[in-house]
Formats: sequence, C-alpha cells, structure tokens
Amino acid sequence: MDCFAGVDVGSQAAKAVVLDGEGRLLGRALLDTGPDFGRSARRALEEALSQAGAPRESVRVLVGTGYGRASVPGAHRAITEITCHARGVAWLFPEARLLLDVGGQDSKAVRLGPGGKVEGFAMNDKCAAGTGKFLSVLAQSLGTGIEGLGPAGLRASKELHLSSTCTVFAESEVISLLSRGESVPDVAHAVHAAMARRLVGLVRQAGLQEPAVFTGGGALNADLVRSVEGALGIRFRIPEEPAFTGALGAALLAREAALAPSPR
Amino acid sequence: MSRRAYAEAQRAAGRLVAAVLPARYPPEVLWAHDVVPVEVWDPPAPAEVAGAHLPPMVCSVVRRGLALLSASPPVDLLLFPHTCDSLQNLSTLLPDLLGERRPCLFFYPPRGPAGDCGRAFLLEEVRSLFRNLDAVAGEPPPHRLREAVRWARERDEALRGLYDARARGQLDAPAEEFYRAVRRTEYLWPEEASEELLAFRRERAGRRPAGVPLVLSGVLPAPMDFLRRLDERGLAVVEDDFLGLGRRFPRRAPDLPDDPLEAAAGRLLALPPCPTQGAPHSSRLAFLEELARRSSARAVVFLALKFCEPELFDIPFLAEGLRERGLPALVLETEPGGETPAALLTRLEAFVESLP
Amino acid sequence: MTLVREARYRLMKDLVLPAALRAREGRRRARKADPLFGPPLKSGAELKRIMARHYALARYAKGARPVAYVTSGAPVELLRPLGFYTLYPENHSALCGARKVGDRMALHAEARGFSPDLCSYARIDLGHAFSGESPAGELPPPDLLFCTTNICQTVMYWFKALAHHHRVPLVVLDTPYLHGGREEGPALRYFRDQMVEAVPRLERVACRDFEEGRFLAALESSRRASLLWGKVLETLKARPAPLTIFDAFVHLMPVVSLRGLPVCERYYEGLLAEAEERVRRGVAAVPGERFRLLWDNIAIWFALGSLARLFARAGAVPVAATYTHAWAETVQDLEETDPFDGLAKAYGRIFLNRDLAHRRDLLLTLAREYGVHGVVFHSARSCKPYSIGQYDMRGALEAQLPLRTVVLEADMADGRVWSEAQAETRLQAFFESLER
Repeated sequence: MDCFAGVDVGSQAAKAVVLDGEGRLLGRALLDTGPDFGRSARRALEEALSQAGAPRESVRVLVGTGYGRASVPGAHRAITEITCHARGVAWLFPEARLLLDVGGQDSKAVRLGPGGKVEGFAMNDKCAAGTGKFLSVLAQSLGTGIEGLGPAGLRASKELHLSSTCTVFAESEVISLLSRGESVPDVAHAVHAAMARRLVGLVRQAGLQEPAVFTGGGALNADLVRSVEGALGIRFRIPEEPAFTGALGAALLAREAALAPSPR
Repeated sequence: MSRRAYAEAQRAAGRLVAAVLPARYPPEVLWAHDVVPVEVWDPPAPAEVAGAHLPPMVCSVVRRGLALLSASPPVDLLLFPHTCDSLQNLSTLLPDLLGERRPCLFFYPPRGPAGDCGRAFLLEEVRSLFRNLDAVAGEPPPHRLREAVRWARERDEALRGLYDARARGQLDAPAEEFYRAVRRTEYLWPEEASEELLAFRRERAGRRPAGVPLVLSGVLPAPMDFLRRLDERGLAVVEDDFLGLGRRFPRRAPDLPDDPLEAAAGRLLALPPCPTQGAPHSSRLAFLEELARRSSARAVVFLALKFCEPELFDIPFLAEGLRERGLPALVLETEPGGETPAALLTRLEAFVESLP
Repeated sequence: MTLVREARYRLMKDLVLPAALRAREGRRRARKADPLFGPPLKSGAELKRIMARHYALARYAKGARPVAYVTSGAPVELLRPLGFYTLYPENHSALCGARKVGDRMALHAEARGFSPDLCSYARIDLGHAFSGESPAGELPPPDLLFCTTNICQTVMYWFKALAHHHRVPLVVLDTPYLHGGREEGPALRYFRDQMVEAVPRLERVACRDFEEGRFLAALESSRRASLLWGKVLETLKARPAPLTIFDAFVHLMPVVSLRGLPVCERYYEGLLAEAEERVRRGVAAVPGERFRLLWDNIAIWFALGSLARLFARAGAVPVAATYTHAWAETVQDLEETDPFDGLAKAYGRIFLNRDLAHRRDLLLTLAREYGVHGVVFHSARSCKPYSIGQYDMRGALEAQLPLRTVVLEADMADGRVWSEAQAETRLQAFFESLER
C-alpha cells in the first residue's frame, strides 16, 4: 500500500505523520530534536512507519517542514510550516479562517482562505518575546516547568501587570515580583497576559477572522489560550494533538503532490 | 481627577476637548476657540495594543498614544504637532489608514535656527491652525485670542515662579508631588492651572528637602515611581530639561509683539532649545549648564526614552560636553509605565556615590 | 598649496585613477555565470568604475575642492555650481552594509554612547567619523554638512552630531511634511526661501560665487538623469523583466550621489540602452520569472545577494519599488520657470514627505502598472518614517487588488537584527501562498 509522510522538524521536537491514500492516519511519532536535525527526522519517520506497520519503501512522497525542513533525509519537497500548518488545520477544521500557532522559536498568525489557502500571515520579530521560548524561560524562574505553567496560571487569584515582554527583562521582573511575595499562580497568569498581548498584535496584523484555531505547543497551555481569548473576545478551537498539525499538513501536501498530474 | 474625567466634565460644561500629542504648539489658539487641549504623553493605555499597527522600534509615547486614541476617548478633535518621524506617521496613520473620523489638525514647528523665512513660516502655521479651528469650533469673539495670550503669559509666569523657587531651594516639595502638580498643566484650563500653580508655591514655600541636587533631562519624568525612588534615596530634583516640562515655557519673560497671533508664534520662538527642532548641541549645553548653575545642581541625569531619536542622538555629546565642563552626567534608559527596574536604581545610586 | 592640490586632483581624476581601475579590471577574472539569473548587465562594470573612482578621488579632493556631506534627498544642484566634492553618508553606510562591515562600524558609535536603537546608517557613519575606518579607503572630512529633512528627521539629528564632531557649518533645509487636504503653498514657499537664504552661506564655505548659468546647467543635467532613471525603471514593466529591482538598488547609486554631474547622465544613457536592448531580445533577468513583486522600503544591503537567489529560485522577481522610484517620481516638477520653485516642488513633494494616503495610491499605481502579484514590505528597524504604517498598508492594498503581502523585519545595514533562517521561512511561505 502506498503511503504519504510529513516530517516537521521544529526547534524543540521532530514530529512525523504517515497517511494512506485516503488521508487516514496510519502512524505518528514525536521525539525531542537533537543537535542533528537529519537524524531526528529519520528517527521520527521510522517510528511513525513502524506504528503504521509500513516499510520505508511504501512512502511515495515525503514532505519536510519546520525549521529543519531542508534536513529531512529523502524528502521530495520542503514546504514551510506556515503552509503546512494551514493545510493541517483546514483538514481538521475545514471551516477555520484563522490559525494562531505558538511554537518554540516562532509564533505566527495565519489568515486562511477556503481549503487552507494562506491569505496572509504575521510572525514575531527576531527576538524570543511572544514565542514558546519566552514561556519556557519564565517557567524555569517560576519553578513550575513548562507543563505546570498553564495549570498554575489558572489558579491565579489576582491580576498583576508584567510590563516587559522582552524575555530578559521579564525574567528579572518575575523574580522581583516573587521576591515581593506575589504567588506563583498570580505571576504565571501575568506572564500569560503579557504574552497574550503580544499575540493579539500578531493576530490583528494578520487580520482577525473566525472560526479560529490555536495550535503548536502553546495550545496546550490552557491559561495562555484563555488569556488570548479574553483579549480578542473570541473562542479558539484546539486540535486534540496540536503539536502534530504541521506534520499532518506536510503529509497531506505529500499526498496532494502525488495525486497532482505533474509535481514541480 | 483623571484626564478622562476632566475632559468629560469640560465637555459637559460646553467646551470642546482636543487630544493633543507631544510636544510644541500654541495653546492660546485652542483656548481662544474654547477648546481644552488635553495632552497625551503617557496615558495608562496598554502600549501592547498598538502592536497590531506599529513595528517594534516605536517608542512607548507613540504606542500609548495610539492605544488611547483607538479606545474612543471623550475628545472632539485631535491635534498632531510635528515632533518626530514616529508622531508624523501616527498623524497620517490614524486618519488615512485607520479610519479616524474626528477632525485631525496638524502643526509644524520649523526646524533649525529660525531665519527670517522660518519665523514667517511659523506665523503662517499659527494662523493656519487658527483658521482650521474656526472651521471645527466656530469663530471666537475678537477679544478672546488676546485674552488667551494673557492666560499663556500668566501660566508661564506661574511656572517660572515655581521653577525658580525650586532652583533657589525655596520649595519644600518632594519631586513626586512637584511633578504631579506641574503635570496638571498638561490638561487644566489655563486659568485653573495658573491658580493651582500659585497655590502650590504658596503652600510649599519653605526649605528644599535635604538631598543631592540633580538636574533631569529627557522626555518625561517617567516612570512616575522613579521620582519616589529619588526622594527615598535623598536625591533632590532641582531643575529639569524635559521635553514635556522644563523645555515648554520661556525661561525669561519674552518681549512679545502686540498682535496676538504674532505673540503666540513669538512665545514658541522663546522656548528653550529642543532637539525636536534641531537645536545645536552648543545651545543645549549652554542651557543645561545654566540650569545646573542657577540651581547649584551637582550632576545631570538623562532619562533616555527608548527609541526616541531626537533625544538619543543628542545625549552622547551632551553628556560628554557636560563632563568637560565639570558636571557629571549619567544616562539611564527608561520607559514610562510599570516600575523602575532595580538595576537602573543601582546604577543611579552608584553614580551619586561617585560624585565628587 | 591649493594649486598643487588642484593639479594633483586633476591628474588623479583624469589620468591615474582611470588607468589604475582599468588595470585592476584586467586582472579580475570573470565570475562564473549563475544559472538562476540571466546574463549579467554589461553596465555593471562601468558602474563599478564610476563608483570606485568617485570614492578613490575623494581623498584627493581635500584642499582642491570644498567637501560637502549631503543627504540623499537634498537639492544638490545648489552645490554643483560652487564646485563642491559631494559625499553621501547614506550611500557610504549602504556600502558598508553591503560589504557586511556595518555592524562593526556601528560599534564605534555605540562605544561613544550612541544607542543601538538609532538609525544604522547614522551609527555606521558616526562610527566612520570616530574611527576613520571605511571599506572605501580614506574619505576626507567635510567642510560643509548639507541636510534636508524631506526623507526623515533623523538626518537632522545625525548631521547635527556630525557638525558638532567636525566643527563645520551645517545647513538644514526644513521641508514641512505635506498632509493631504492641507495647502502645500506655504510649506513649499518656506522650503524655497530657505534655499535662497542658504546660497550666501554656501558661497562663503566654497569661497566662490554662485553662478546662475552653472546652476541651471546642473539642474538640467539632474533632470535628464532622473528622466533616464525613470525610463530604466519602466523597462521592468516588460515580461520577462530585463533586470530586477535588486539590480536597480545597485544601479541607483549614481542618481543618488552623482546627480547634476555629466558622468551620471552618461551612465544612464548606457544603462537605458542596454535595458531596452534586453527587452527587445527578450532577455530575462530571471529566466524562470513566475511571480512579479513590488518591494517597499530601502534594500537590505547585507543580504541583497542571498535574497536575490532566494527570490530567483522561486521564480519571484521584484519589478518595482517605492525606493528606486523616489529618484524619478517628481522629476517633472523641475520644469518650473523659477528654478528654486522647481527644486522646492521636486524635493518637497517626494513620497516620504507626504502622507500615507499618497503612499497607498503610489503603491497601488506601481502594483497595477508593473502587474505585480504580491508586495514585500521590508520593515526596516532603522527607518521609522518608511516603516511605520506598513502593517495597515497591507490591508489597504489587499482591499483594492488581489495581492498577497508579507512583512520582512530587517534593517538596511545592521545585520545583527537579521535572522536568515527566519526570513527564509517567511519568504518561502509567502511564495507558497502566491502559488496556490
């Protein structure tokens, strides 16, 4: 049986998705990205294939995406994560018109047309403010770990203001709030509120439309999602496994490339 | 009372309210039309909201200004003096791309040492602002402008009196209170403002609180808690060269022409040297030195507003020039809003400890 | 003394430098053709010669000619009849950016307290003033600083700092910003009057009289060069385009910094002939032209080559830019009967000195005339007047034309704010969105 694969090599994790010709999910895998992108990509693909019970030769088209998209061994094409995320989201939520993705190094807001067509997008500037990196640095200062940051924020009992969205300055602000005796949940919530203000700027630049979908690692942080929702006055849909949207989109594009008359 | 509440009360009383962005304009022309200029410097609007419209290298004064103006404040018109590139673009962004429908007026103070044609152009700008206000607020009765010129003179005198008293050590007011009082002139009707300033001076007559005397320079004394930190550390602000404060009233009573529009223009020409109008380093240095001398200040502290080009371009040579003249200078990068970062206060303390 | 210097200057200008540059060219091996691009422009060699001679000769100008540092939007025609040797700090900073030494030079200014948030052109130039370093060899200090605020206020702050450092006179020509709906007359008259007022100061620095005949000749030469430049840009309307805007960024140098001199006109006659010939023969700058793009803002000098390849690989060809257009946009205004009125209009009404409604219309006109599919907005960290408003400009354009747009956060000369991988992702995604 022919299958189609997408591998998304991000700065934090490598994700692989394998689909059959109908677009049904056969296997998927997520691994931490090591220093060697090519190796991480290969291992993620192997694991997804073994879950699918399919040999490597059965992959008719392989698409690489993400930061390490050019390093996916044997990939037929490299497509950016913006296009892939859009495609993946449209498959999961065909009516989606906006995508907000908060990843490790990049955050992006993408305005979607029918079929997951990218109509416009905006991304964070070079610095880490507004990306997953911002959260992981501050989670460390708060001692919650990245997974604990969201639940902590949800327990907040008052609104604190974090004025800095620069990662370095925000870190020292967090430390001084804690030393002043503010609680970890309140500070965690303030971190999410500061991050949400950045993300709102991105969404407005791209153009706010509904329905909207939240993906990437950031979508797993319920307090962050809630803060952005509050600031924008909308509700997001969240895929069951938001980390896989990019790889899914890549696999879908692989399948389309195979079906198209003459791939470029 | 907040500026918003004041603006609402003024409108209820039948006046029009203009949101005025920094920095230099002839207020007389607005007053004459019964328009209250409420200045927008560092409103408590969240600056991040502006992220959708402004790229990251725009200062927080402009970001907060945009955030405030897009949150429908109780104002009837907007006035944009042309102060810098960022405010220039804000003044066109709002009406041209963001659909601002309230009347937008512009005022361009000429740059460079005012030659004959600069003075002529300034007068033409004052006239044109007056005519444009006629269209928005109706023509004022003829004596009104003359009256407004008098209010400006009285307010300038009150400010000068207060500043002089502080410089001579005859004002018993901590910095935070001083600037709270003075900054009310950014929105109060001029007669109220003058009265308040005079009252403040009377009530606070006395010996300056002990402390190392400093001159501050920059855009604004911000964040506000910075002033409290100075007071706590036994540092006394005795003069300032802030764009929004000490640089916005003539330091000596100018001899003004009789024609009221010419007087309004003449008052602007008599303001202290300012980088937004291209004042050369030499004149700014002379001004800072004079401020320090008359107030017996021991040092000058620049509160550099991040991304503010007119201020930031001048500071290195000003600080160098002051040091050459025996006046120690310190540069601190600040942002209005929030709290003063601890590291910045540490630098300030270390600087004061190192003063001869 | 002056006579000796004058003789040396002429000798270098007419004999030594041309011969030396020809000899150097002879030694240089031809670079291998890149299959992504069409045949290189032959005018490129002439451009190199002209600019190399311009910078090399500068060091012999001191003492033989009064030296002026000039901003790119200043009416340099006023300086030509007085024999000034003109150097353009913006051009020099762009050169430093392109040679990838911008960051290093800016550090000299930052070490003196100039904030890294300030304009990179200015920081590089002040870094040059403090260190004397330059990839163009030794440049003479100025006798005059000549600055016009029609492009930004930054140049005024920057030239003020130069004036303080070099202790030389600064002439600022102030050009009030033109808001649509406001009368232009007083602002342009004010600009005109300042030029007239400035002439005696310029004469004093140059120790020479301002001769009207020479002034008119410079004006006419400048007008012809701008017209020719405009025609060169118009050849990019052809499909495929005979050159790209990335080429135009480089070939822009003479009209920026040698305007009003015969060499400038001659250069564009040659370039225009070559571009027209390429159109006739159907020579494509990028053989696989698929998408035509409009570029907004200054070039990203340090990444120009890598961007050109990235665009070409996707068959994306930038065919128009507001930036290159600026030196042709208002040339017809020079035809006024009063030469000072003509200058005031031509220099006072450039798009950077006009509101964003005008900018939107200019972008729409260029997009239509050049048949573009998308717009690349370079948000230049250094350049506030050019960059503030671009976010909302995207929507304003998309509402009128079926365009895709992208914002690229970068800088014209400071590579430290640039992330190659991030920009690549963004542009590739943009090209992908054009595709589908």
